Amino acid sequence: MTKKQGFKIVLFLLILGILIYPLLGIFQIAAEGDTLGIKKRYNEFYGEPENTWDCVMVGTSCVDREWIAPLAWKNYGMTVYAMNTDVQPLYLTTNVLTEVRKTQDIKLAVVDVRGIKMKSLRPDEVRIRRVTDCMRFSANQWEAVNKGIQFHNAYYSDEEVLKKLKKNKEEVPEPLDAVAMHVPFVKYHSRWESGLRKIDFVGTDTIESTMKGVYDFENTPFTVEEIIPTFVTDKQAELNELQTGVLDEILEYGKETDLELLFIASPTQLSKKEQPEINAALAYLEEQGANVINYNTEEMYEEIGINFSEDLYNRHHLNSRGAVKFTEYFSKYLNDTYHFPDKRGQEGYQEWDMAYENFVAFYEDGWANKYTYVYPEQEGGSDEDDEEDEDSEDNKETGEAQED
Amino acid sequence: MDFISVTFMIFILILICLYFLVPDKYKWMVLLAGSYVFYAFSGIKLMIFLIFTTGVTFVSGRKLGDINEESSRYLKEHKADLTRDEKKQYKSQITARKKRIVTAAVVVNLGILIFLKYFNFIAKNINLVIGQFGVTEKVPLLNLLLPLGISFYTLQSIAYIVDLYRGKYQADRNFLKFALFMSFFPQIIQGPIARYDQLASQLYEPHKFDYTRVTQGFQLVLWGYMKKLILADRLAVAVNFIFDDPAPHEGFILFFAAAGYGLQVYADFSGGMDIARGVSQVLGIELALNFERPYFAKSVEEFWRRWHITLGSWMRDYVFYPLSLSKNFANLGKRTRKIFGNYIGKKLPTFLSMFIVFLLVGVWHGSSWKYVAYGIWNGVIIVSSILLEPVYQKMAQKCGMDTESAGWKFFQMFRTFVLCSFGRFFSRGKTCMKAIDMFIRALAFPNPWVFFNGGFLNFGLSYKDYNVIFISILVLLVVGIMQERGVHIREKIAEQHICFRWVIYLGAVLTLLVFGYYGGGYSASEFIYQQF
Repeated sequence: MTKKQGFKIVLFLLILGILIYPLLGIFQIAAEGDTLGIKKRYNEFYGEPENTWDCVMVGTSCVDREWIAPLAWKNYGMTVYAMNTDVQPLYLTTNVLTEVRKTQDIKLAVVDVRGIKMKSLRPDEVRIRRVTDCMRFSANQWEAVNKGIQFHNAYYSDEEVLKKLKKNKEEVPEPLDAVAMHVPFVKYHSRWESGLRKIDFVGTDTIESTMKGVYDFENTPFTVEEIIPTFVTDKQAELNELQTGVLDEILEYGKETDLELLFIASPTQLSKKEQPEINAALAYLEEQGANVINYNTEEMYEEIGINFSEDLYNRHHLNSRGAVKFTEYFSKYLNDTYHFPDKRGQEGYQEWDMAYENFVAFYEDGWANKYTYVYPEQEGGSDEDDEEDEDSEDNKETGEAQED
Repeated sequence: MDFISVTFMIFILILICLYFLVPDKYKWMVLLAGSYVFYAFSGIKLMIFLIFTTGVTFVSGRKLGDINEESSRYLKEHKADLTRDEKKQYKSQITARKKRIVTAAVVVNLGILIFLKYFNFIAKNINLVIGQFGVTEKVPLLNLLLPLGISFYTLQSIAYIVDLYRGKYQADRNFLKFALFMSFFPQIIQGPIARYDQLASQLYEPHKFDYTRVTQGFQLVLWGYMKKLILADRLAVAVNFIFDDPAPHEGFILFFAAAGYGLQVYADFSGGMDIARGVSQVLGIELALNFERPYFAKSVEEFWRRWHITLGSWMRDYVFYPLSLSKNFANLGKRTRKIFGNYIGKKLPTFLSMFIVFLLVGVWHGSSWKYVAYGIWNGVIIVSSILLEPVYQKMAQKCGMDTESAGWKFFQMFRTFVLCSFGRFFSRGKTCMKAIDMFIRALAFPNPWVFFNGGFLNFGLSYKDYNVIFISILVLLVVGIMQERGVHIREKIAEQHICFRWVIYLGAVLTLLVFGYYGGGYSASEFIYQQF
């Protein structure tokens, strides 16, 4: 091979790389039309002014459904942001926190433990992608993908899981395709078929957060489903190694990085099968010396004022009325316990004032014009066999969550 | 290792770099090691069959080679001493010895293939038959795994043995080199079925890096990937949808599925061949051509000369000629001429040979009655089209048609396409009975309105997919027409200005990346012929 030929090969590959690079940006997880707003959440996060957050809340979909950040701001001048994704894998919590802490000097992380249920831990590709495909490419993102792949392998090697799959006559899923997981283009290059939008071409790295992460999907926040009140139990299930491993990793992360952690179980209706797993997780964490709060007790429902006939849009999630109640209660607790400085009126926080105004307008307009009543479908809370997945609830909402 | 995988691409890049970096005398070893690494990815246990067949073929080949050498030396040395009869007697002794070796080697190699591929099929049918007579005991079915590429390398080994029997070339004396011939990775999983005299020396000789050759090889690889990923795997969605549940469909939809499957197989198989040939070309090795634009064929017979050429030529050399030139067939010819007259009587033994060949081609594809039916269909169509050719000619003459006109040729191509497409019901149908049912319902219920009422959008493909399919077929057609006219596309492009050339290459890569049917959004399927 002559020098000229070598130069031509290098030049060709260089041009090819230059042409492919923008394609990687275009063919990624949809920035718009992604009805769960997952990519939007990350883009808003990347658009946040640096070091303006006091605290972050992570966990599954229940987190942004129950947390109204502008309201906590209005009441106490605290900046607590929800960085959850739907059925966010709990084993990726440390990566989400690392990503947040690259730009936000948070003092506290609130971790919702609903994701500890074996059903929620199921390492579905979509669930992992909701986190990893939304993050910017970095060593942390790379590690998150690897962790997802490894957890997938570990989960489907677990005897309990295999036994259950066999019982249900389900097949063990194929291991995740590492290349496709690390290079989202491999998955999303087919998006030319579903229709690309302007935003896909002009870059989607940052978006200004107008309501600081308030959940605003269509009429869902203004939907009321009458839920049969849950039967609370204090029973505890036995956690397996996968579950304790996930919790240990988060605890270890907190210690290593000197981040204070608060573990909570959000107030929703949980079946008798789900509660013992969450109870056990909270008990385990408490044993390890962590701060925990279980909001799924009769007393807590009463203190917060949760009304199961009015405050939930489905059995897993609070609607915006329930969210206001929870935020009022929880923000007071945070303020009393962690004493975040009141930043109201300070330079650089005007966006939060605007966010509150936007939220009020959104809330009032929503309950006036988008109110939807849903007849109860089933008596989920009392059913021993009820193992409906949160994901399936999400899919009912969006019809395409799995696709995205 | 699948051609459609990142592992394969990394493997190829490493192998190519190694091949051109190591000293000349080690180059063939790189290919051998690479071939076995490639094969090992499909399962190390199954490699034993390849090694065994290689061993049997090598040993018997060497034995045949020894006999060939010994006999020619003997005849040379005793040229003056031996009478004609003695020479004849000696030759027949030698032939008998060689026959025993050939028979043993072919029986062993073919036996493995037949056992692994057809045992369960034969057992099921035996059970069915004896069940009719009230026999309750059954031939047990075995859980057999088919080694990758066994249908290809077995034919390759038989060709080598028979060629040595015929004294066509000298036997290979180096086992490792011969193992490379048997296992050369680009062609082991789906061909082309190589001949020793055409491939072996190319494998053993070192090849230097040649920029033009290497780039042209990669272009061929790219073209292969485009055929496979943009056209074949996209078509597969609609084809699979209809074939998986054909009951609700009829008429043109079923014909569309069969014709679509034909195109899918063509893009899939020829795409795989282009990848294999392209990779080999990069390494300086020219593999045999396996496709020559079969859809430009004007008869089914010609179609089969253009489709899977190496299988066709294998069948011609090792089944058709030995059969039709055998004494038994010659005697049969004499008898049939007496009964049917000169024209048909003379041709009947040839037709019978052809029929057997196509039956074998059908059965080679798989162990199912549908493949038997596929073979019969092709055999019947070819024999009848040869028989009817004079009738067509007369009809055309009577109707005043110009048989050299483009219109007539187009009609012939279309007719061939339709006939071959109907044959696809058998090769793709789930069972023989289902294939026959689809065949009948495709003919019995013509429903042209399905082309206009959006019915085709119900098969898992969108309008945009059909557009991609349409454009892909158009590109294949244009390329095909140019090749038919003797234009060498890659050379033609190479003559263009670098900017124009690179626009084509870069455009092709980007088109493949975006429109290819791969990844999580889609799911690329295996190469169809890999399963045979």
